[in-house]
Amino acid sequence: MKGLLTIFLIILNVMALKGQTPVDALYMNNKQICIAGIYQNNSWNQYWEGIEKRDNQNLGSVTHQSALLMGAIGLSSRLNLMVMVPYITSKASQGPFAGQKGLQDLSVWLKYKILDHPAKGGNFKGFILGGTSLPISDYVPDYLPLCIGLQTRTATVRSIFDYHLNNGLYLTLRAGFTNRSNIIIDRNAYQVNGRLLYTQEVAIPNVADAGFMVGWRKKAWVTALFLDHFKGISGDDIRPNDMPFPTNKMIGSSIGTLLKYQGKHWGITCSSSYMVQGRNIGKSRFFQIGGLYLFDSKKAVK
Amino acid sequence: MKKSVNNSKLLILLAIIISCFSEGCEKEIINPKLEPLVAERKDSDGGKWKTFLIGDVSNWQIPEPLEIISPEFKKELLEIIEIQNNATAQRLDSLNWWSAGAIFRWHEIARELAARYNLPPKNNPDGTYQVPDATKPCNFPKFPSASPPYTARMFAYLSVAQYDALVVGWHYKFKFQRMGAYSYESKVKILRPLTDFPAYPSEDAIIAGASVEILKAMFPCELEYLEQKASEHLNSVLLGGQYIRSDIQTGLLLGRQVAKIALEKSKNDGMRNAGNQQLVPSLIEKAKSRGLKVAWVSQDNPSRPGMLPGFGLLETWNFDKSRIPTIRPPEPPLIGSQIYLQDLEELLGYSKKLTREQHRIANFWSDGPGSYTPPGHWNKIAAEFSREKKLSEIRTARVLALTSTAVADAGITCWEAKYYYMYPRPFQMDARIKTVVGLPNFPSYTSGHSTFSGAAATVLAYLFPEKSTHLNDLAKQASESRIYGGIHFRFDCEEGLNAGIKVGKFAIERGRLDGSPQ
Repeated sequence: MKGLLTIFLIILNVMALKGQTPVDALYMNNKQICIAGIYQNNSWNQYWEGIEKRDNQNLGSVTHQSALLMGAIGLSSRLNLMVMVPYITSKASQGPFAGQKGLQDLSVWLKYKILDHPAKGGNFKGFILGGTSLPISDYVPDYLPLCIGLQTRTATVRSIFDYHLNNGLYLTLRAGFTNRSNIIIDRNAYQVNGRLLYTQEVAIPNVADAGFMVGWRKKAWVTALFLDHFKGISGDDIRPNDMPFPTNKMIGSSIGTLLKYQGKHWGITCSSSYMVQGRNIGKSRFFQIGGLYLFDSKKAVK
Repeated sequence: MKKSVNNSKLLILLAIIISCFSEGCEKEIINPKLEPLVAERKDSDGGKWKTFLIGDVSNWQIPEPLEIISPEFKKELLEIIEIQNNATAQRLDSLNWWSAGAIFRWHEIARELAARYNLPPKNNPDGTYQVPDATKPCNFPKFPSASPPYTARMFAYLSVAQYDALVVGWHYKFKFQRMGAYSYESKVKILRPLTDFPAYPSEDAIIAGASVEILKAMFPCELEYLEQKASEHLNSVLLGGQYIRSDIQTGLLLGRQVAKIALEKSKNDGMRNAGNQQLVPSLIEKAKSRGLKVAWVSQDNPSRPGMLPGFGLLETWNFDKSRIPTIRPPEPPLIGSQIYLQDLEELLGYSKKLTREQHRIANFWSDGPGSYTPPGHWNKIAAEFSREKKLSEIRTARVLALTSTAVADAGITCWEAKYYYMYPRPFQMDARIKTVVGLPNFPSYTSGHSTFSGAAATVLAYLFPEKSTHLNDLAKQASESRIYGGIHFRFDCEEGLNAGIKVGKFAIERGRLDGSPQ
């Protein structure tokens, strides 16, 4: 039942360009299956050019909208498999730049419960998660900020720890690392760190992430207040008045809220967040709303 | 049983994670190592080829080389032996890098500077734009703004200075016949592959001298960087076994002096007034009197004055600028005419559906901000063809001088047309025509990329006849890329290409008469 939180929390990342991965402590029991259909909207009219916040009247507001289909299966009492596919469209409210649209990347994760035991006044859980994402259409990656993805293949490892009190209050902490593969762009020369490279191959920075959620969850309801931080661990800055490029070091911190209700079969989820600090990234305002359907809720998990 | 099932699942998970990581491991991307250039021909008649700027090369005075039997010569040989004995791995790597070709590497340096300085100006909060100041080049925004016209002009001066200086150098090399240092002293090793060839004055040093002076003038906030590059070049080639120090000193001085002659010309070539916005209102008036219904208006937000309205008035290289009206493309289609509507319809089609291949072509030739510009793109092609064919430094310099001056002339011709006709961009006429590359801030007719490409491909097809079909295809594709990009009408590109071909033919004429066998 509450395993469904897993699915929409996957979408906590506010930049549609990042691979989206599960970040929560909720979990599905053996043989439970959940399907979700989610709409996301990510928009900014200011961005950080390096560390300098600015607007760009040749773009106005940049908006990415996604329609996601997700599935989660309890393979055993400890192991969950999750799959997600997004269809993304982008547009700029001003200026001549064309928006883009298409199927982005297929994501697959395995989530394994390594710890589950009573703790003072509640319960303590630990998870380890591994996931990968692969582009599934030939979208153009070298067209920031309007491209729908970076064409990079990712591999992520994450650890999640959750302390859930009997009265419903909880705290979840997580930390992870994503390795991102090199990509091939259409041009055969590009600039990075002030140097010209004569190749179509571009190295994309790897990403470290961390975050926490606090809130209240009990039976059908989940609420949360969260903080999310990710950081490209290498890369260059957007040049003054230039367009961003996949080699940029992207950093972002957001705060947000979410609310979810899951009945015996149907459920609904919604969430919003704001990017409060960043580097080489849009100052995003993000929200999402989705419908959930759970098969076989007889063996619901606490 | 349950435990082993759990364990096996955990192992599967770990296996997946490990395989994903090993696949995506981060590699640092660096430019590949290149084989040293060993020229197929010495071009011993190079000293007889016609120069662009300097007169009779035999009037140019350079000191005689040191006498072979003199103590000074022996001392310089000993210096090379010592330098070679103390060679570090880093110095040898550097020698290897510069051995790919001195003209080749200096043009790479020039391209990289163009890319770094190729940035659109940023607006102030009040809607005005910050303009680079040549007198304070390191203040933000740094000078120059390496736009396509600026970069085309830069490559022309660089190539002409290199070529003219090498013609002088070749004249004296084959007059003095002072061969490589290794041929006078067996203890001097040959650390760099080369053909047996007169070493005085050093062509590496000539090229370094000419390049550093031109590039310092073109990128005045990079003085230290450029002199350091020149030192690195000359220190590394001293290791090679070919030159002694006086070969380098004479060559360096020769290169610098020829560059200064080129820079004198550059002071009065019209670039100083290329940004003169006062020209624009009367140009619009005249275009309207000839039937233009809608004049170009900046689509930048905030609105920005058109880029370099006076660039079309610059001194040309391969023909007299009084001939520009004969090269200038014909009047563009009237707005609302059948051809205009047809080409507008074509663009709307691409805005609705652009195939991946069309988008790829638009991207491949985009050459926009942060890149080396369309002139830089053709400069790269010319340099690569020369290297591929193992042309000597002087022959490579000739290729680049003919190509760069053709491309610069193309820029002048094209900008003259742009501001003569003041034709609006497609997006200005129909906001449904979206672009996938940046929309440049200057009039539409004709396409700069098409003109540059027509000129460059025409000259290069003369210089590399075996590549002429390929070059024709490249130029056509570069021209069409602007239509897929959504920033030009087809007629902008077709007429641009035609004008470029005419410009290229003037460069061919110069090439045919310069005394070099083809």
